[in-house]
Amino acid sequence: MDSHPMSSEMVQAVASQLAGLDLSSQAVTEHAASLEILVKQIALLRSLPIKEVSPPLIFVPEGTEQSD
Amino acid sequence: MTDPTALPLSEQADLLREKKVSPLELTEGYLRRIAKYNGELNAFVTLTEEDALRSAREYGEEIQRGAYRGPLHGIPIAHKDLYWTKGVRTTACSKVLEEFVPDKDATVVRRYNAAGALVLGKLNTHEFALGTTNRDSSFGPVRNPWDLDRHPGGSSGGSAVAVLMSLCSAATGSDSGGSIRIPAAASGIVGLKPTFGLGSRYGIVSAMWTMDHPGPMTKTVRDAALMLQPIAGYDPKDQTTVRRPPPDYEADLMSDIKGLRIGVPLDYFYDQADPEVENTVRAALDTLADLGASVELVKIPDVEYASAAASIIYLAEAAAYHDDTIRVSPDLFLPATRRSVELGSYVLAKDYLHAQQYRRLLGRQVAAILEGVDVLATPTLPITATPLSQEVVRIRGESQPLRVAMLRNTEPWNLTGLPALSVPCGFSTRGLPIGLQIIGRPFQESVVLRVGHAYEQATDWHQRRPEPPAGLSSDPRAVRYQ
Repeated sequence: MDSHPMSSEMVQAVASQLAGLDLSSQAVTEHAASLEILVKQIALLRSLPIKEVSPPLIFVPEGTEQSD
Repeated sequence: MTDPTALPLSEQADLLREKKVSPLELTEGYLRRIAKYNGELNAFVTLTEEDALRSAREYGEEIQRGAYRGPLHGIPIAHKDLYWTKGVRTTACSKVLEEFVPDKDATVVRRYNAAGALVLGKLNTHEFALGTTNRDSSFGPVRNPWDLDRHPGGSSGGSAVAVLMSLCSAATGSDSGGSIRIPAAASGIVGLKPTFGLGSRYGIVSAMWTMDHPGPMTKTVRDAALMLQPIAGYDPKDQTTVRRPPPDYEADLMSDIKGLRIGVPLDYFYDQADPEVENTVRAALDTLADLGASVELVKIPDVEYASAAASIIYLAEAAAYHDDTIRVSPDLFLPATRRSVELGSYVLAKDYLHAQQYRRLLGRQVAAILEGVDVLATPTLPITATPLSQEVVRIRGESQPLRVAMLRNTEPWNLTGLPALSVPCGFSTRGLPIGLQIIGRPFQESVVLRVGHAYEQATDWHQRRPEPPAGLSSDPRAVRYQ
């Protein structure tokens, strides 16, 4: 995904089989074009070392007092 | 006497308290202006004229008998059409919610009602707040009064134009990537995105669950302080709100900014802005220095990843929020909104989580910088308002999608949740407004507002109005712009 933007066939497959979207061929083409930008952005973020940022995502139990 | 609809809210409040103007006079004045100008500007999408007039009479009687509630009593405001309003349709400017009439008010709406503000109606927004121009709305685009062929910024474009053109005293907006500050800057008014957790999001149609902030849009910084007061505070219906007593934001405007330290991150925020915007904002920094502040250069190490992280979060959260509707009734969305929502389906969970992790990294880097300075200052937008049909902008020889360019300076503060204010600081050679953005530490809205107020006292950019508004027919019987 980092170096190969998604093909129209892959967009169609992901949309229909994973996301449950029924896309026209025109929409598939538009998505594929838009995804080129998104894929570059995702690749950029993947290049940033972020695994050791701590604390990681926090779950706050329901009913916990919120404070600043 | 000056037409009271042209005055800032704070001055209207003085006149109301002194019984020199009644809520009914103000309300009727705004309704006349809406009737005259809204057809072309398209800021209001729903008018609640009868309710407004009834409330105006009721509040006028209260004030007359000495039951004055405070500075918002009898003030006519309007809400972005994402805010639930009991018994009044709330559409998010989408066919999806065309018939939605809430049976309760958003917490923010309820608090304004309790403060005695009356509601003139609901304001246009980019569909579901998923855009930066207010071009894509089921009610049609909002037009920028400085140039009717341009957008006013979005998503809260109706709010910005209604305030600029004195169609209401103040308005609510919401900001998930810049949707208060972008239209404030592009239209030439004041917009405040408070700290995440200061104000309740209950009853506001969500754009992105982890990025949404409610806030005020006003003519002046003092008005923003007055409008912020009811928003601030814990709400059990929104557990992200914090339990801390808010200060008196208006009273906190009184102190000056001598000795205050302003951090200026030239990289990313200035060096990739249109040179005319950069020069205008640098001149604003000179003004702040003349007022006694010290201006220091700072660098935010990994800010260049902000756009990537924010885009991933926008798309993934919008796709999750609209997942049911997009699969059942995709044609109810406007094409651009539909495409944004559908694109979120391709974002992998790992990348969404990386983006959320990045927020902590960025927040930590900015917090370290804010230990050495009191606020940061940047251009709100790297460009001025563009023509309605434009999709790509060219800045310093580099082409980029309009949406990416418009969000780059504002979205870091949605990722970090820090308070950020936009104030007018000049005009381009084309006569289009430019905004100065001031960012503060968490819950230090008072400091951010104080800087903006000090700047406003030294300049008159916030008083400029399009006169006559370009392209709008002139009617000599109508009230004039200030």
